[in-house]
Amino acid sequence: MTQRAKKIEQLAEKARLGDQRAFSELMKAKMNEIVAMTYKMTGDSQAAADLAQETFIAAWKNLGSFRGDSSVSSWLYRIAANKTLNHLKKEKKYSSFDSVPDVNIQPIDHSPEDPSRLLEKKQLREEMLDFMQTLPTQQRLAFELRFYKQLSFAEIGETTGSALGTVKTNYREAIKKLRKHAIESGWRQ
Amino acid sequence: MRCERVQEELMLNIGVEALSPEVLEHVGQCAECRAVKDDLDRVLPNALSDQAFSLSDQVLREIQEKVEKSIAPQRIFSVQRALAIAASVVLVVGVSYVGFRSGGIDDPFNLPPDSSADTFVQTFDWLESDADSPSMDALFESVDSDPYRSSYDLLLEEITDEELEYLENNLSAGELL
Ligand SMILES: [Zn+2]
Repeated sequence: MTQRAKKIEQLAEKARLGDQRAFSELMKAKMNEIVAMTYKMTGDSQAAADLAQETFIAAWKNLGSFRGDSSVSSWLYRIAANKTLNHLKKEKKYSSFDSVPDVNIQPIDHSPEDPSRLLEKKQLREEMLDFMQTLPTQQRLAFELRFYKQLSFAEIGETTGSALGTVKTNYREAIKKLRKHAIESGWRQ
Repeated sequence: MRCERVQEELMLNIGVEALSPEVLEHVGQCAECRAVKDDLDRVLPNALSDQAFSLSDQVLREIQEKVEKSIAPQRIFSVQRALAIAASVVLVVGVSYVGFRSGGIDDPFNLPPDSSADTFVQTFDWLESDADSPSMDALFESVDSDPYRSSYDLLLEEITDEELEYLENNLSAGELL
């Protein structure tokens, strides 16, 4: 376990005992990842912000039931995944159109970088968001949790309530499509 | 190892987990599988890190503030809450009085030894009429230092929403008053 992961688990333990300041620290440490996840899953910055907010409120309310047999990170991903899937289901129910990814986001590149590289990154980010919205929800989620959040297939199965084989198939399909998409659109390295 | 199996391993693990020695050995000898690996090695780093998909610091701060506001213990000002608190106060004062009468706890009103208050009315009569009684300020000072008084304060000020909900759900003010 890395130093950072250890610190996060300690914060979770304190928060579980009702320490709101520790929960705020935990939230600060995980906010980026949760927002990035809800953003990639929805392609909508407003929905991403709302879902991240709901995720942390639900986490605070349910900390008592967090038993610590998984890491607090994957527990948070699970909450975010559930919130996002519910949101996407509702969207589908109320809209006959595919959601259009919004490009109205603020890039958050903290390190000074070559402007052409920044532009390239911005294009890649938008392409990646576009690409992810083309994936069926379960493939998108498997891709998000495996590639971005580096969860094991077993953990993804637990998070999404899917069988191991299904998770692997979903992820493999997403990777196959990504490879095809990257070749067709000539992504540069 | 068969190519199909190797390519599956590549797709499932590149960028996340280390490839097995068997897969690496196969890739070294098979042009088709090597092409798949090279493709994925080129494509996946371009998928960018989470950092590139987050929102601005300003937005992240706003989300955090909203959550903090939402989870902070809230004071609800409602008739029900006021009644519940009033009922709690009556309960506490009642218990304190019974305790006092039965000699179970120290005199919460710090009465002089010769005072024999039978009821609250008499106690308060004494407070109002007796010129030799301790001044009101001194009286409250001594009351404040009383441990029993402290728990009384605690109940008034620190009643949690859960406790309040319990009171509201389980006791009507009429029953207590
Ligand atoms: Zn091969």
